[in-house]
Amino acid sequence: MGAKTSKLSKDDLTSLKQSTYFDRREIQQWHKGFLRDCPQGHLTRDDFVKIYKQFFPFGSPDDFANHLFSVFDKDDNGFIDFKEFITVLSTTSRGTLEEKLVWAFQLYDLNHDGYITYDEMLTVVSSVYKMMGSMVKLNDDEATPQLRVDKIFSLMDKDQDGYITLDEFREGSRVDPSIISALNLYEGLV
Amino acid sequence: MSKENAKKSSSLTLLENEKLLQRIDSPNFTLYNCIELLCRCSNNIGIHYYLCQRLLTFPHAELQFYIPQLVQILLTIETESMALEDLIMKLKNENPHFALLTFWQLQALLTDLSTDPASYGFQVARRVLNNLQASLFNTTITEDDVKPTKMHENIAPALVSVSMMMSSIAIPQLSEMTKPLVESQGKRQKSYVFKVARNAIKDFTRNITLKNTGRNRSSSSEHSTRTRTKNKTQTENTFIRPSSSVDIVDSTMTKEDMAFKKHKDTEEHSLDFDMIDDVGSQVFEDRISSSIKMPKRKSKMLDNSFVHRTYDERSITDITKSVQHNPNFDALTSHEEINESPLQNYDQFTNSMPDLHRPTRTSTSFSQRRPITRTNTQPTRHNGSNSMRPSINGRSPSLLDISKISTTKKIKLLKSNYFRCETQFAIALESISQRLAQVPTEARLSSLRAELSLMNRDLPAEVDIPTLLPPNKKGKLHKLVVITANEAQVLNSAEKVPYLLFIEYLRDEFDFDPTTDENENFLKHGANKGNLLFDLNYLSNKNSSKDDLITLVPTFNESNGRTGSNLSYVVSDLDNDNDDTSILRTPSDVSLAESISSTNNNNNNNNTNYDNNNNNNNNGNNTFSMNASKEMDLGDMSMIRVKNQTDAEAFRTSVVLKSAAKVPIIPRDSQDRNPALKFSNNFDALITNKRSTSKEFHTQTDELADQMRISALMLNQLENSPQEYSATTNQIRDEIIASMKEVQDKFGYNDLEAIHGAAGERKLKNDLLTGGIDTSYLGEDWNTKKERIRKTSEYGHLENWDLCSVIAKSGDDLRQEAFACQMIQAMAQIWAKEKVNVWVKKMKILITSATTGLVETITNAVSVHSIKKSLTKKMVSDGELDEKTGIATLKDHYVRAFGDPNGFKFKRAQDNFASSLAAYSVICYLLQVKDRHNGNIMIDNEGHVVHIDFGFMLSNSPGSVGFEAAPFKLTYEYVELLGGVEGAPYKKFVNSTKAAYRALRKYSDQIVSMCEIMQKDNMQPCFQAGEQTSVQLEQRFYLHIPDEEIDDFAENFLIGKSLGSIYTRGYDQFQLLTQGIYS
Repeated sequence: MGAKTSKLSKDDLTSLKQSTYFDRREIQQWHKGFLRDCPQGHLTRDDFVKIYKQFFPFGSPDDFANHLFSVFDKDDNGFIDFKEFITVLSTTSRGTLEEKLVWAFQLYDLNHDGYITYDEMLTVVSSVYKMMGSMVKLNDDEATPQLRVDKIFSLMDKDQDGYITLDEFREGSRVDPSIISALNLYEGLV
Repeated sequence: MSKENAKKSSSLTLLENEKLLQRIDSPNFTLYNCIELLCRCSNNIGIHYYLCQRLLTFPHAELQFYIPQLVQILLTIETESMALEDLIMKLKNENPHFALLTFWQLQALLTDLSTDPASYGFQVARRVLNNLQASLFNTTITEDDVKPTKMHENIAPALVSVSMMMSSIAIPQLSEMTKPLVESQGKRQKSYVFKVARNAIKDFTRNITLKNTGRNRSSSSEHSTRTRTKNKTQTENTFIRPSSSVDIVDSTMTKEDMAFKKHKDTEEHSLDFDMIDDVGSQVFEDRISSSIKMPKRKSKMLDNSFVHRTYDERSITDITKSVQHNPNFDALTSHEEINESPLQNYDQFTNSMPDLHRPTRTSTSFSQRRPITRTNTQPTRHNGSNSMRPSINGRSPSLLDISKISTTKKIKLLKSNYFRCETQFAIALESISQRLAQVPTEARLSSLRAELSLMNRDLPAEVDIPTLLPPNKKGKLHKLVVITANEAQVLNSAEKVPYLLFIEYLRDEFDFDPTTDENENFLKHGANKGNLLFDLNYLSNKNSSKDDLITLVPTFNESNGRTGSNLSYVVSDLDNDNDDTSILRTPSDVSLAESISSTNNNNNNNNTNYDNNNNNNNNGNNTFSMNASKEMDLGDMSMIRVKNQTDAEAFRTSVVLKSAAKVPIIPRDSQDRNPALKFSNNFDALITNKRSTSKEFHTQTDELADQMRISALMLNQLENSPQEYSATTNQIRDEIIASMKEVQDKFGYNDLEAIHGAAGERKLKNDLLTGGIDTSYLGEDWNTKKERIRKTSEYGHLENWDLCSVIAKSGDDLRQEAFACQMIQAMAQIWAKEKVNVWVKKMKILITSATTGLVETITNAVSVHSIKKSLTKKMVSDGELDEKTGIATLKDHYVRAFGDPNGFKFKRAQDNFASSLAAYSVICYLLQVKDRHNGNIMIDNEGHVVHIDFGFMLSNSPGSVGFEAAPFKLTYEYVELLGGVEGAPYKKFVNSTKAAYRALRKYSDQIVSMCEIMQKDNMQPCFQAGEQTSVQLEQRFYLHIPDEEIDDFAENFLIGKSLGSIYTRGYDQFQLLTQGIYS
């Protein structure tokens, strides 16, 4: 295992180069960084939780970290390896708006059935609220997760059938400038 | 089940964190609370970041006060968080004083840490210092300023950035809130090797028993050798870099070779040692054997390329160019550019010339585009074609069109000029002190004044003294205009030569607003000005050791061997080689000995090659040939030539050379050569010949100063001359000193009347002091002095004219003093907050490196020792005291100074004495300030007592003699002055002491933790006891005694035990016997 993780194979490198927005050097650099930060060669759910606790000490990020982990862990084996990590990083940092929204959709579609139900949205939004604790001052009309989810549904659920499809998700996000700017906020950082 | 537990504990921490958040946000949360929490919460990035954000909400002046703690936390508390580092970088942009103070503080600490370059502290210190340096001194706008830096490969912030994007549908605001933290953490550059070397440092600390840590060479070098062997593995890794690196400057190497090599090297060793060389050079020079030293330099050659190349691009002189061209030009372009501005090369050259020992020196030259870079990054010039690039006249145009420079850039230029002036000023003061140390005691005063008057060439300049002269609220800085050279005093005749100097300044005189006329004007002329600031080295001292020799040898060898080289090439070679890397350029087959023996010839050859004033120079050679084989007189002289080649400097050069030629020859064979060194004649001639304008006058003073310097050099040589000529040399020596002394009062005066007039006036004023009460034994009053200086100053008429006096120290570590002063100030703040009516002097100390600093002087106070000494003498001569029976008492002094004991003035002075004595008693007890003899206790002109010299406190005390066991010094004499134990003033003293102690107890946690933060890995002697230091400090608060009993405790234990303690008296007697200090 150790030998396998310590160096990225040529094949992996080539395939990652094709499937991501990173060049060979960047992939190698990130791989190095990945191994430095996670010497086992993978991240676990606990690792996720720990990282989020470092960044959000004044809230409880456990639930959110778990939701997020599921999005990363494509093969659902409980580990996030470098390939899984770099793929998501590539899309979210350098992908098009379209691509970003597709990925974001997966976070909210908890059971991967292609629809975000009201409950799913509420679960995720609640977890985000819990994570940030009292750090962000919110407007009255989104002071609680319910209020916020109501707002999201009124924005996105055009046919008002109680759940949001990917198309609705994309369209709805596009018309909300605050969402768009938040999606692009980290542009150029990675 | 374990999951349950984990959940429980996590919700518990959440609860704690929420409480913490409330506390941080509360208005009662003090700056110090914040700093304390920074230590405790270093394990959580989010909290650490939040605390740093909170820090920014406090006023700059308060933050500045805690710089030592902030820097200490940065270096001693390991954390994943980048927040504190970011905070420092942010504050340095906002506040120039903060930037400088942090810079100096870090520099000093880096010197300490350089014993262990693999430690966390060293890594951080070096990184931050590099960043600071880059941003303070460079003038190009780097990418950092324009767009955010890319994240390094850090998984955690990357992950968070991913999730923030995804959660932006849930809450868009969260993204924005998290961004700064993500960016901050993204900057993290992890080092692959961190060896924590606490042990080495502790080991070191244990071995220091000398007062003031001591740059005591023998002991520390001995010790560090030991440490070094201990860490041998690491040493090898870091310092003894592959010896093959010599060939990196081999002319046969291609550029590609170099690039490859360098790249590989930086990959292998993520450590980059350029800063060791800059800051730690003193340490290395002193402590590390030369065998280690050489490879160490090589390592620098390998590593610094990337860092330093950027420095080239940022040079002041490229202002002109950088307007038009892209800052990212490649190494070759930068090379060309440098060749085109030889003026700058010269400065660089001189600036770092003789003083390889000096830590700060090199670091400043660093700021001025190190020449190394050129050696390192431009191998191409060895192929001849480039070296042909003619450049000696390639000076930049005299005026700049500043309309093309962006405002940001203008501010940057102004600021970097300020930082450069400031650091060079500090170095100049230091180098004076070092030069003085080489001059015989009797001649030091004249030399000092000569040196200082040379500094006036570059004043007024954008220089102030941070800490000592704080800016006003609008952010305007004071500007030093003249050093009153004639008032300067050498403080004692020890090996280290501290000196007192008086500096005239204009309050609130400058800022960095690029729209003001002055600043615009400065920017227009900026390219021409500035590089020569406070450069006192053009005549170097003779003793600057074999290093110089070694450094110079390869220069000459190499340039000799290179037939095709033209003038400019030689010059730039010199320039490069002068730096400490020059060893590298020695052809590997030439042994050191050979090089040395051939020096003389080489020098001669070279001189004749490019020296117009050949004759003069040869004269110089002969003059100094006495020691030429041993010392680099010759090289020095030729360097003067090289450096001063430009038109602007031509005049000075000829003066220097003329004076050099005038210097009496002291050959072995002739005994009757008469040293005709009549400065006073010259001086009088200078003044009477021309009633000159002030500018011309300055030149004349310079000339005089130059001659003084040369005499100082000669003296120095005489000291080193062989024994058998001692009779002659002594005679010559005496004559030189006599003629030097003759003019020591004449620096900076415009005409003779002023000189004589002022002296007479001074005498008169002394007699008229303080309205009839005779305190003439105290010397000149500060205000009188100030007025006197103001009258003779050419700036005196300006409304914002002011005078300050500072002591420049070199060779002593002042950080302990500074720490003591900081603690005292913190206590004073507490007393003010708690409305305890006691008085302390808030002394200010500026640290400029591990061994240098400036100390504010107490302008209106005299030590008890001096008071008693002169008063006793006076009273004996007035017949008021019998020589045999008595020594004047403090009360005698108060009566003389403040009049009738029942009068208002006396009572007020007595009251002042009581309130200040109370404060200092508590301070001395809590901080265990020792060595309290009367030379360290002063009385000011209002009757306050002021304690100075905190060389012994907390866990170290002088010697092993058990004197001073009393909690603090309280003699019968003090009690007498306070009207006896029944007197009202004494009662006031007792009550104030109790109140002061009580108040501090309330804030004991702050005081203890200030000490706790500082004691970590700290080499200052006061922290000898390590972790125990703060524990013992806490014990002295007797926190287990309930508040209601504490007053009794203070009265019975603290005061009672101190009162007339035989120990204190014993110590005074001991001092009188051994040191002649009056009790």
